[in-house]
Amino acid sequence: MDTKSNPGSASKPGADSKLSFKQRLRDPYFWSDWLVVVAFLLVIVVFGAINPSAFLSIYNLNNILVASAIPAIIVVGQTFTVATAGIDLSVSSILTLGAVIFGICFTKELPVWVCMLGGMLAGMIAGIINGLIISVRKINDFIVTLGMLSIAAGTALVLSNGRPVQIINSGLANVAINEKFGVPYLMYIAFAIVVFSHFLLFHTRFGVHLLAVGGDPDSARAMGVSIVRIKVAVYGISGLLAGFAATLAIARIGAAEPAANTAILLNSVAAVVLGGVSLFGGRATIFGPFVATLLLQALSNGLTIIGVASYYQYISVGIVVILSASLVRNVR
Amino acid sequence: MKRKSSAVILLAVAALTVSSVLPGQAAAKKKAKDVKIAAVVKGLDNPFFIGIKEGIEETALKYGIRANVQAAPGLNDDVGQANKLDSLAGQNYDCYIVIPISSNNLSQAVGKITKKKKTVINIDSPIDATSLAAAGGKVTSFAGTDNFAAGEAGGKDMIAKIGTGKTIGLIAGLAGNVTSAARIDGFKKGALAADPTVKFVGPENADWDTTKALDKANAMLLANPSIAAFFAANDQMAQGISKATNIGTKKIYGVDGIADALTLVKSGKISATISQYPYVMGQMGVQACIIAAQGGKVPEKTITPYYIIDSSNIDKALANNSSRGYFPNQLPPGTYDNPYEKLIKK
Amino acid sequence: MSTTSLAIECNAVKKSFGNVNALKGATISARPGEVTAIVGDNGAGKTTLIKCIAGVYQPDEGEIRINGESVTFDSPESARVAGIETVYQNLSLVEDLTIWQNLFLNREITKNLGVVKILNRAKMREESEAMLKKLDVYIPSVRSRTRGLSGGQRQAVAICRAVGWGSKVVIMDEPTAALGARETMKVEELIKKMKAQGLAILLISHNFEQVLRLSDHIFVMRQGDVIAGMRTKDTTGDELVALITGSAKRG
Ligand SMILES: Nc1ncnc2c1ncn2[C@@H]1O[C@H](COP(=O)(O)OP(=O)(O)O)[C@@H](O)[C@H]1O
Ligand SMILES: [Mg+2]
Repeated sequence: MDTKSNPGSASKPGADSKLSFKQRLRDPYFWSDWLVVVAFLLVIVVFGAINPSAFLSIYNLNNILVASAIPAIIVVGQTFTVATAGIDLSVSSILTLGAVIFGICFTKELPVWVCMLGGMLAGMIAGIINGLIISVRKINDFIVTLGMLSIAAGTALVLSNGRPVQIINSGLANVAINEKFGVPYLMYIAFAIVVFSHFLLFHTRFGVHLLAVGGDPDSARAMGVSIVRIKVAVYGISGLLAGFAATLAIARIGAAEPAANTAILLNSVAAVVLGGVSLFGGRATIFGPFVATLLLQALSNGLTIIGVASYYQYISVGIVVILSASLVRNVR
Repeated sequence: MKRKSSAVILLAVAALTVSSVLPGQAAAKKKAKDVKIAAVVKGLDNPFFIGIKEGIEETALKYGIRANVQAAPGLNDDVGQANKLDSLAGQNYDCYIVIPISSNNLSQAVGKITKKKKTVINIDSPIDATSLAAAGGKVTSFAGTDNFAAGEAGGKDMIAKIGTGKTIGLIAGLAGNVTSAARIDGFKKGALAADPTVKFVGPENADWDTTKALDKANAMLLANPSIAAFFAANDQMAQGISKATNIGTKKIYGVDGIADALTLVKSGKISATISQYPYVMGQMGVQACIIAAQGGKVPEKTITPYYIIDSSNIDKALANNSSRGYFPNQLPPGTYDNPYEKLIKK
Repeated sequence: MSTTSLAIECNAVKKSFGNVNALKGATISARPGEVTAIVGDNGAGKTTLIKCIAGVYQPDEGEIRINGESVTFDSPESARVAGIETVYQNLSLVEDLTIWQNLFLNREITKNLGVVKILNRAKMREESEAMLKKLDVYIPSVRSRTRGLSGGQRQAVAICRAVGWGSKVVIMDEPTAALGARETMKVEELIKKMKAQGLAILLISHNFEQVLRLSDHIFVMRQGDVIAGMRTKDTTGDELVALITGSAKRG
């Protein structure tokens, strides 16, 4: 694997790095990728020192992994959009829309896998619409997805009549609650998506074209790369993942809720930045934002455990995000 | 806006419908001060939940307990709230007080706590029984207001004040919100019972927001000049309505009893607030925890009181003021029954 | 001139943007194994002309022939397929990608797994090294990002990319405008090598000395017209200046 071209793999030692250790230390991106790992370990060490019996218990580490699973999946989609120098503000609403579609299918007594596909399809369509408007009409990503945030949230309310649908299904509950080898099922699912996405970004033609469009759209276009196709694919994937995460959210809370949860959106943007992905596009890793997601959840979990009042938790999370972002910037 | 009326104490307390004996979860009797309590409430961006938080913290302190009160990380963050409860469940608390964001989102987390043989007290919004059972969870006691009954009382009272054959504008909270729907539905039922000829405009959703309620009220008045009074599903929206251009001396009722609403009732800008007592919910939650830890019988369900605060009893309500918070109206201006307090062993 | 020995011909090509007549009927030609220079003042229409050849713009009127065959390109891609490569002033290199990724951008060697096209990285790196070697371009590693390269190195990479695809015509728009003396020399070396390999090279340059050093044939443009065309050995810098400023005429 090319360590320099995709610094996310920095955490996998050795593959075929031809660059000397010294050279790597001089690459600012090396640092922006490692920063999040260091910060994550720091969080673990600090909370582990304050309350080892509670924070470092298997039970609690499991909690952190469960809590990270859904955000991790959303973050992957967000990483793709940010890597094309865009952003997807509609993820949380699309998740809600996906959940509502799932709920409607479930009420019609369709099998769970059909309900799941329904939610994913709805998410993907919303995402493709985002991508088409952004690339064909050349309207700013921020504006288009902000509009979609509202449209998807509203559609979810209209379709659901604003009422939650209770979804009691032992299979889904099983996925949400159980674990294997100390790792929750939810995390296996999230991690599989992370690994596949890493592969997609760094080992396929699509990934190179995605980074090219993000890094320099004019040059990419001059080389015959279709900006429209990449943007549509990227927002389609982001929507698809949000629609899929809807199923996991349903598994976790046992209901399709009609009101959008903006915390998911804020978390995804924070994790992408913390994970060292350039907001200007062209530079991304999948593992960075993934570790950042674990970091944010571990932070929230740790603060709760040591009994820091909620008000201060908001402040701490904000400080961590801004501090890390500015550190990354300084190194660059 | 003048109003003369007798103090309407609609419901001092409907309580203690059922008492059940719970298997001694904390078999060893504990002293009240040794009971460890954690709570997960909804977002603290609403005075109502701050009121609950203060009720929990201050009551706990009275018994010598320092309660760990946590809130959902964000508005509507149902999954995040479940994560919070999970985080706390890993620790050695005797009792967890919870207010779920939705009727289902905490069921699985409560199930995990039940497996650890710890007590869960549910206050304010109930956890859905079916989903709780599916997750293997158990709630030892519930204490909350009956929003439908509060709305219903408001509906009856308003008809008594404005007379029959009138049109009432309705302003609701967030679309799909259960509390809002219960208050609005209750209000309509109460008003229709008192006057079958009453007409309604709305409900329009103003998302619990003062400014949005003002805009909605202006629009509704423009389209329906015959509106004689407004009912809003919370006080902030009632406050917004009071600033509408053509509001004149039309009656406005809100729900909650927040500080600003009391001031507005005093000055006559709004007619009444159907006041609920979040502080009392927090109080009862803590007391239920202590009873359970002491191995006592815990009342299964308690309805906390509400009062219609208007010009007739506003001075008394204001005298109840605590020095701080948005929800100074901590305790009702009259008596109320607390079935928990007397069950605590000294 | 026999038509068949021409790699590229433009006959009376016209192109307007609104009421700006950027090209008023430009006629040029270029032979394989030669450097054909186009000179002219700013706004003379040089870039517009090469963009018509490269498929970026479609001429309003006139004809373009490649190896004697009349062609119309609806996109840069179709021009590229016909063997015409262009190195623009901005080079069209994505700075965040590595050198090999840039060299193979949109021409990746892949193994197809259903719809997923998996990169054959090892092969592309190997071939990248060969492409650079063929033109004696020295770059420490094809794995390094383009961002870290000097202006000359970038130009070299862009040129290698243009040459590396079995192209017949390479168009260069002011390739040394942003370079220092040393790097300019290196790029000129490259151009000579390309010429030696039998490519037809169209070179836009403001540097008369360079044009006189490198080219075999020169066309002079002024205000959308090609006003002169001659063998390089038959002209001088002074004459070129006179032609460009309009103080002299030549057929
Ligand atoms: N895309 C365009 N839209 C409008 N006018 C253009 C465009 N491209 C070039 N022109 C005009 O056409 C003329 C020729 O430009 P150009 O070909 O760039 O000249 P040169 O490369 O010789 O400096 C100029 O007047 C320029 O302003
Ligand atoms: Mg030019």
